[in-house]
Amino acid sequence: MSKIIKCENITHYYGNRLIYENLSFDVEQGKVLGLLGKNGTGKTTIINILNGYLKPRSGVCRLFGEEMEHLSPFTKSKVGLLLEGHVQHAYFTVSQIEKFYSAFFPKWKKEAYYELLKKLQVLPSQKLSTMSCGQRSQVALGLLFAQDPELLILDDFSMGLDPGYRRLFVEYLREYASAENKTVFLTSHIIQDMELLIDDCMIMDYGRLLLHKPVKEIMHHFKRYRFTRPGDTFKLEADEDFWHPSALGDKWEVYSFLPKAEVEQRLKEMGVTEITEENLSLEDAFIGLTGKY
Amino acid sequence: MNLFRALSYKEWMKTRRLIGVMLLLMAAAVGYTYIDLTHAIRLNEAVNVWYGCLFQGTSVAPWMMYLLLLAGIALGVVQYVPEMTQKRLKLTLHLPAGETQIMASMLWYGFSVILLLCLLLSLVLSAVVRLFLPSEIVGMMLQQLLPWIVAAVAGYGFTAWICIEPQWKQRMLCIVVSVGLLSMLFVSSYPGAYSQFGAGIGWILAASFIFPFSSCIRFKYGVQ
Repeated sequence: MSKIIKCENITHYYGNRLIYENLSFDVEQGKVLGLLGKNGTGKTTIINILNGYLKPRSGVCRLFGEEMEHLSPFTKSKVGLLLEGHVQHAYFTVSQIEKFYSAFFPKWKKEAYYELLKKLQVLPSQKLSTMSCGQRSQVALGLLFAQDPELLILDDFSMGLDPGYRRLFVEYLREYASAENKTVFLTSHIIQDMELLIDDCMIMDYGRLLLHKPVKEIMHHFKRYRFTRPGDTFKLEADEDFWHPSALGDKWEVYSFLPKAEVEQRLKEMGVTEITEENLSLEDAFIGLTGKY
Repeated sequence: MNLFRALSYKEWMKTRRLIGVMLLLMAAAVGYTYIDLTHAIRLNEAVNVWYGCLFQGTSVAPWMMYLLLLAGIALGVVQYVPEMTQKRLKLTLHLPAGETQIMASMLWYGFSVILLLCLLLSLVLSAVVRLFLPSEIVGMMLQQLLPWIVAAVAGYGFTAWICIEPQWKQRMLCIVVSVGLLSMLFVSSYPGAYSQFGAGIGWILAASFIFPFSSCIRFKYGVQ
């Protein structure tokens, strides 16, 4: 499979604050990749770098093989971009914005735009500036579908949306991506939405990429283990196998990719006799990998 | 795809109300000139009005000095503030065309609009003034208008430069430079005072077209 996005050794600072050091990743054609991370870990920054709207201190990203700072018009036509907050030209009406964008894209699918907007209680003459956040999100999504890009880059698509609009957005997006073999690179704060949508997951921590794995692999192998403290002096430190151990009273929990037998073996050496294994949602896994604080 | 035409649709949607307001203001200004001129001729007699214009450099329409400049600045604000709100310029620059061409098209739209408005106003004003005063005075009025029209056009370009600039500190510097360059066009309002300043006018106009690109490049590279 060809690589639609390829980033190599991206290092970036805001002032003296390190955002990433030597961040490298790639996204294959047809994959839906979700970028997760706490606030301030640089999710929007990487989207800005990808689209050439931020020059990193070093490193390079390529979209369809072209360097991010010099994307040709043809490559830009293959990339659909959703900015954080569903930002669009709010001085247009629903029909005017469709007319504006249609002039730029030869394969423009007007019907895809209006089909999606049928679900909304809006008139073609309604101005975007008078719409709710949810309605604007559907307009933005409709414009992306009409553009019919090969790669969709969506920055925090769930921001400001109520559960109904979020679900609508996710369902349309999932159908679109799977039916037409599109590549999607997205970020969101609402991780339960991502679970329904993404194939691969990249989790950012402050200054580094924590993990880049298929979601299935994380869901199948990453577990939470609970146990009771064997004695007052018991202490469990985090290491490469045990992620974010924490205690509430004498009840402990720890996250791990290790199978239960191995976790049992390790904890047995510390005096723990009984452990409980729990399957995780993606949100739980995210907390397990990044910590609560 | 005709890029200029496609982008002009967006720029028109942003600026059409302002253009309407400007046309109304200009119509009001021409009406005021008509009343003012007929009133002056009635009170002072035509020969004295002529004398003032020909030998003392009295302006037929002195308020044009400010009106045209304000029109240029207002057009720049109305066109570029919405682009910078929520960083919508990213959407515009993401359109499938070269970024330089996109920026140039947006600037050409603004320059064309302000120039057309100035030319229209000059034409109508000349026709009205010609009803009462000789062609020599109309010629002098047009000479007087020329640096103010240049100020309107350059004022538009400098406003674009200031609005697109992503960093406040740099924006302040842009404002200082813009005010400095524009003030050169208001040193004298005597007709023909700028007849030997053609090269200077050319440089100011060129700067007003080129400088916005530097802000655009800084925006593109994410300067904050």
